[in-house]
Amino acid sequence: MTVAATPTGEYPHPLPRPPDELDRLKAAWALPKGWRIVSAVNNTVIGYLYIATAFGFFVLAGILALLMRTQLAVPDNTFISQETYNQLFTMHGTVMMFLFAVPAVEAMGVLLLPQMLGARDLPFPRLGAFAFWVYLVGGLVFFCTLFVGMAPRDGWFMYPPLSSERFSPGVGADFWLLGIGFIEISAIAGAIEIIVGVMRTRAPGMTLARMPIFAWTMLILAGMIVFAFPAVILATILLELERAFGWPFFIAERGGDPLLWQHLFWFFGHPEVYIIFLPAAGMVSMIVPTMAGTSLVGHRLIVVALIATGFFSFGLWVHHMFTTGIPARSLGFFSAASMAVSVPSGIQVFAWIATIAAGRLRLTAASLFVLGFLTVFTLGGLTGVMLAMVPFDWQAHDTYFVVAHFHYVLVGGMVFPLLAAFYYWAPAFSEKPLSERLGKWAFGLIFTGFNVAFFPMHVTGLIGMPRRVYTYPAGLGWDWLNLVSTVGAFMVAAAILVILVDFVRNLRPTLTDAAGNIWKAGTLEWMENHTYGARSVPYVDSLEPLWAHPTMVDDVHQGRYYLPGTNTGGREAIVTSAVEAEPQYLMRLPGPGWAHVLAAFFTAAFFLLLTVKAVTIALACGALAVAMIVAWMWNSDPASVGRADIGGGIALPTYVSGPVHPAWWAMCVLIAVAGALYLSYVFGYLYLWTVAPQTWPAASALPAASWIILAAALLVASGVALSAAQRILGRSRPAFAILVAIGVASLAAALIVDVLSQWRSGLRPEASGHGAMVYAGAVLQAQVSAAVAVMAAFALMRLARGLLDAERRVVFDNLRLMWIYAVGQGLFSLLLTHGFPRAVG
Amino acid sequence: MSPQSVLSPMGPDAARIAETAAILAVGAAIVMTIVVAVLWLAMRGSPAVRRRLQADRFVAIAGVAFPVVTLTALLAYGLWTMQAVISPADASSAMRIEVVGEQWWWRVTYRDARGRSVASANEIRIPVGRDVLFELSSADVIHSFWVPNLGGKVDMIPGRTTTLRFRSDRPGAYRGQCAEYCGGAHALMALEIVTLPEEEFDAWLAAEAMGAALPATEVERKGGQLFLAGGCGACHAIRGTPATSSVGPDLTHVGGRRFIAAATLPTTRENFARFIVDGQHLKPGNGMPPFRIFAPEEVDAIAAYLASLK
Amino acid sequence: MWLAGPIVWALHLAVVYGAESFACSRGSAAAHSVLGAMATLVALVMLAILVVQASGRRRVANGATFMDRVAVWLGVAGMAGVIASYLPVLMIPACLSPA
Repeated sequence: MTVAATPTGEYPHPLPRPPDELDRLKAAWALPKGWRIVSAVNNTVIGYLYIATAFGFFVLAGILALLMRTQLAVPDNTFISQETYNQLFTMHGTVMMFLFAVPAVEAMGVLLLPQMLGARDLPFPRLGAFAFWVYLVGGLVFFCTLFVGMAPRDGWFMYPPLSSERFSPGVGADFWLLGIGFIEISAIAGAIEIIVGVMRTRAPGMTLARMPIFAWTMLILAGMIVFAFPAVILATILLELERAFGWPFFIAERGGDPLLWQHLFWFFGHPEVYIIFLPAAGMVSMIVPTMAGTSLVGHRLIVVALIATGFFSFGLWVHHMFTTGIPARSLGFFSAASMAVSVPSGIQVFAWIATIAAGRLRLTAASLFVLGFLTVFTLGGLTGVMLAMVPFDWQAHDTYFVVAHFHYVLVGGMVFPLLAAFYYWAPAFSEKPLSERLGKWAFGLIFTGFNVAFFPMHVTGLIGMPRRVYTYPAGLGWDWLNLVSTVGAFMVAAAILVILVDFVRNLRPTLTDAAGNIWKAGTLEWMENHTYGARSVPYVDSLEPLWAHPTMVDDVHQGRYYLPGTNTGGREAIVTSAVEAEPQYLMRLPGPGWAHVLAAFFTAAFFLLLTVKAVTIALACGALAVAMIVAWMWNSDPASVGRADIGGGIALPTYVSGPVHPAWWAMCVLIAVAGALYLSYVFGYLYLWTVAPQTWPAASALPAASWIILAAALLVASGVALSAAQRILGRSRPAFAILVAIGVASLAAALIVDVLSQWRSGLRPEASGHGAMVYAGAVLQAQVSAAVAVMAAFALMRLARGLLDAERRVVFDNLRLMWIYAVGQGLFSLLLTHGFPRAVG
Repeated sequence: MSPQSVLSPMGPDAARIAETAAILAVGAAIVMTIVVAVLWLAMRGSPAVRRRLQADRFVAIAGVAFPVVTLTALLAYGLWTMQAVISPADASSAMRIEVVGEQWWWRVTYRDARGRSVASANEIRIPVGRDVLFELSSADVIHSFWVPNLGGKVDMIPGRTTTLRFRSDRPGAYRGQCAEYCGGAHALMALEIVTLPEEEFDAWLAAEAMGAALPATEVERKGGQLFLAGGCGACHAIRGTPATSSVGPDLTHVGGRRFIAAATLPTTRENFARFIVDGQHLKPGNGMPPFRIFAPEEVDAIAAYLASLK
Repeated sequence: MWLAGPIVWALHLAVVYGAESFACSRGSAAAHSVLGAMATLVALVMLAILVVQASGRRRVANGATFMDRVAVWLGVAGMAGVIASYLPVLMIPACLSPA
């Protein structure tokens, strides 16, 4: 007689299970057949495709690197032209960062998180699939610009004024701005999915204390995306406005400043590095305990270190700007933060070493990649500390020393762990594990090749070779160092080839017959990984439940734990509380569909057609994308079917609203994104004021106070209408509809009044940095107002069909949150653009 | 000695940074060795050693206490060095030189003893043993001024004037290069700083302030005429001749510089000729169109004239 | 509240860096030193209170207790960060650049 993991020691369900229970579960989660797999939303299917695509981009960007290394093998080489080389390094950086690294870690999250948390799927399967399809289509088109010579050539950092209309005419820069802009949107969609997934879909009992480190890292990664990506999205919006309409955000002669871009870009760009590194560290924290056969030492300290890294990484961005002439004391602040951030990484490194000491490390291919990671990443961290020293950075900045440093950090800190992860987790998702022999060969090649390629670059940089040069003269001592680096680069390529061969020979993705737990790991992703995850959802009472309860895999498989079948006949997931993981709600999940796939294609088409200035078709695609999103959302709020029994005497509601509902959380995260975008804007506004206060108008030139009072009154009226509508919801449909319509109209009217007042005062966006900023604020307000309008129209459509009432009100709850935010942002905007110039004028 | 190297410092500021680099490199090597050794012990050490390594105390000491202490010390050292490098020994005696970054060359303006400005390009001569303050700005995109043997780099940003101060202690020619990607021919935007003993420098600057040398030979004279007739003066200035435009580099003493095309080609008659005809191939995208209107002997004459402008 | 440590650090950095940048762009270095010192003092006191409170808290729930412990360490990390950020103020004159 075995004892269940539950607090009572009793299994939630007795055996044997009803004979048709499993069949019904399988039917509910069945995959679409044949080519219709494109409509699938299961996290495992999307996860496979996501990882495969990301790895594909890794190989492509790697080939670009080989071309560059070939060009640099000897001095004064003419293998590649200046123009092509400039496109190559721009695309190498951009593709590696935006199309490989971030998607790859998010993909690992999509594939692993539900399994690891004991969830059936992620909470918004179609959002995850949408994010993937947007990324795939957009990424492929973006990459293909290289073949027609239309690729951007201003570097992955896109510094204006080089990237401005004046110095980069043509569509290359626009492809970067719009192409990458919406891939960032895909990343944010993924982040929302991951945050809500980690916080709300953990198996019962998996409190924050028992949550695997990988889930922690994904949670922190997603949180960082929410706050970091808006900064670069704002920057791309501003630069595109400048390129398209001449609004001078970055043009110094008209009160803009090129450094504003650098602040915004690096406020995203530095956290980005940790966004890539943290999940990789999370993977290592999963692999090391398994391979050493013991629990992770310093689990709590690692959680502290991860959170601290997440925060500190936002305080380092100026260390990319140490040479821009910023006053010394300010540099000191960021030098200090840059050093502080290395402490948490040190903690993790020594915690892993301690874990290895506590157990016996099996030297598998995965372990080798982890050991490679530990050494290469540590060296990258140490050169990072060197670069954090301002005077040293003055010399090393923008030289090959930096190239060496960040490849040690990124390849060491992300690619090695990812390869370790491939070799480690393959048996959980493939019929056969990957070949240990080929894996060890690949490791030997990549570890040697990497160091041969990149270690000499430290020296190349210090003896004077700057980055981003397509050629160099002989006789400066750089010749043989570059040749050695090129040889190393081809060894790395050989290693990747070996891994690809291994994939072809051994990787057989499956949802039914995986090789299974061949490493004897202790976490839940090593249970079965069917389309529905595991047969039943276990109760989790430790960090390594499979170690604590050797029979758990069998018990789960037999359906002795929670929710062994389907209550409603459809896909279901247990939603649990955020901290203690107590079951709260049985959420019904959607099955396969086409609306989200089409929405993704039309979204991609909208942005890409805008790039080539096909405005009419672009707008049509944009409208279709919105229509598809509405179609996809239409049946996402099914009505209550009473309480559902998940076993162990727990009956969960099948309808909830307010903060218990995951959609409420998703909306809050989305609002955090909007808020971060707006905060970046406020920073930009104040920053330009400190740089070019002369373009700020005197109080007399500002619109009269009566305008502002009118605009503010309209915003307040909008809020009042919302609050009244909320009270009347479910009582009078016509009154509710009228109130919502009035409220949305007032929101729009407030924006129009504000813009009109500025226009009539003579302010023009192209005239000055100040003017550009004021109208950019209106653009942001128009964005959130448009979102409110679409959501309100959606709510009214559902009201008309009787799908929205006092109980069934999640759609209204979401609208309400966004609406409150829009009113708040509008009021703040008035205060900023009308009040601030008066206060300082 | 390497002519473009952080590791061959030729002035006190570069020396201080090189010293910092050495300390950091040695420190990093020591820490790296310790980490690898501990990792090895964790895998292969005796049970007693491994028991110590798995304690929470080990993580607390090696992962928290040790980094916090060393990094705090490093931070203080770094801040002190930064201040030492920035703060002038004697601000009043510093010589000022204005450098403007342009795609893809350097516009240089000296102030001579009487406050007159002297225009030059792509090669900067400075006196040995005296602080030089560079006032850096940009005419188009962001560039970065960097001569590693003499000091760190500072960006040249449109709309701002940044400053960099350093001193050279030994006469020599030091190569510098634009360190911020500035589009197209960024790789070919280099410069040279030639440091001279004080008296030599003063004499040179006085000569530099003068107009161009008069052609000495018939070929040079013909070259000078062709230079003007061919419209070269629409972009270039040669002081003392009707060519006064400041669009491109000032050529008054171009023959006296060691390199042309922003330290891309050695200054020879042949290279002048090549650049006039084939500049877009030698330095793609540069602002000068190829001049194929000249016959080969005419190109040679212009080249001879330019080479004579010492 | 669990994240108060790093949040206070971030706000402190924003205040000292913002004050320095603003003062230097306006060519006056006087008033902001007081502001920086005040901000540092306030930040440290707030974090000290937080650490003491969180370390004294005892809860039955597993997840919440864990997060209280995490909060204590994050508070300590925040304090270290605040002190590190203030070091440049002590060591480097305001608005220093080569001239």
